Amino acid sequence: MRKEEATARHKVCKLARQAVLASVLIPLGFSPNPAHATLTIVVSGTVDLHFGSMTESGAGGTMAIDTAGTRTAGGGVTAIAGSGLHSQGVLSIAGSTGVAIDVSMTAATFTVDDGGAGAPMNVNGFDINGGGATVTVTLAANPSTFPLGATLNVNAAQVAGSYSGTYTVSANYQ
Amino acid sequence: MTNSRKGTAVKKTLMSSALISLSALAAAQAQAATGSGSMSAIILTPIVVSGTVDLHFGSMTQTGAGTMLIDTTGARTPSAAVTAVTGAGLESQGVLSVTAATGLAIDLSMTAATFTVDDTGAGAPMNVNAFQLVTNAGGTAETITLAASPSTFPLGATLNLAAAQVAGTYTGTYNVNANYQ
Repeated sequence: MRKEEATARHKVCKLARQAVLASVLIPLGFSPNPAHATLTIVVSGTVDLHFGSMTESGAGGTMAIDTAGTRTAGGGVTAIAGSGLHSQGVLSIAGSTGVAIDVSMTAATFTVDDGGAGAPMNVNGFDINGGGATVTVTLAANPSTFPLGATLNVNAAQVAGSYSGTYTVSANYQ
Repeated sequence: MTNSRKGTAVKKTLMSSALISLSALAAAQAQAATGSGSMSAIILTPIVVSGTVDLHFGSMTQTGAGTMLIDTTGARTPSAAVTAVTGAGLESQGVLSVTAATGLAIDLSMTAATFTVDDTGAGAPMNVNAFQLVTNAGGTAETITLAASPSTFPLGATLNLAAAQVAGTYTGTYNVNANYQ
């Protein structure tokens, strides 16, 4: 009887020790793996954020384009629809699905320039996917696309011309 | 013995959590991504419209009230009571010069259906109406697209003479609006 009890207690202790060992090994061996399994994020603008054609009265003004591609002119700026070029920007984000990703503009203001006589124009008020300049997204598919809106600031007596520039976005897993 | 074992266990746990933090940090840093996109905007040349050649109905005589049409090609057509006199050779369709961005639809329109000419003397003002913008079939509103800037477009109209219009030289101005569509 005593010998059997002793054997049984020894087995319990051995199991308990194995359990402790396993619990130490699990965090060491497996916890980092989900982090390593996430795909490297690739973010790029696949469709121009295009404010389209407009005239300017001489007083300056603004042209906003929202994430749906709708333009709203302010001040001395008038939207001209004829050219049909205007479009919200489109960001393509490739990465792991179902994981929260922080997406943010790397600056509040970027500029467009005509490479000539025209003064650069500021572009600000960025709106990623309707959430502002910094948002958290989760990819439903890889890659997924998200719309981008912004506001163009037209200077007084802006020289006529075609203006272009780039914006930069960063994306990180949370 | 028991205390020292517990100490070891704690140390191991701390070490493993330290390792996890380091590897998580490394993973996060490796997966930071930036990308760029393009932005564009087009500021269009303001439209400037001006009449560079007079819309001139030329010389005429009359036996009663009537009209003198000059079309966009410069051909005159008087009504029955009016006779065109060709000797002076002054008649001409009007010519509009438009400076604007090329390749975009522009709406041209007369700002009124009727303008007047006057001799600033005894003669009553005469109405000018039935404007023909660009072509004889064109009305008071037309859509144009510039192939080059500036481009010119002809303008015709009809002069309305009252009965016994006082002889004289009559002048006036018309106004045209131009807007990008």
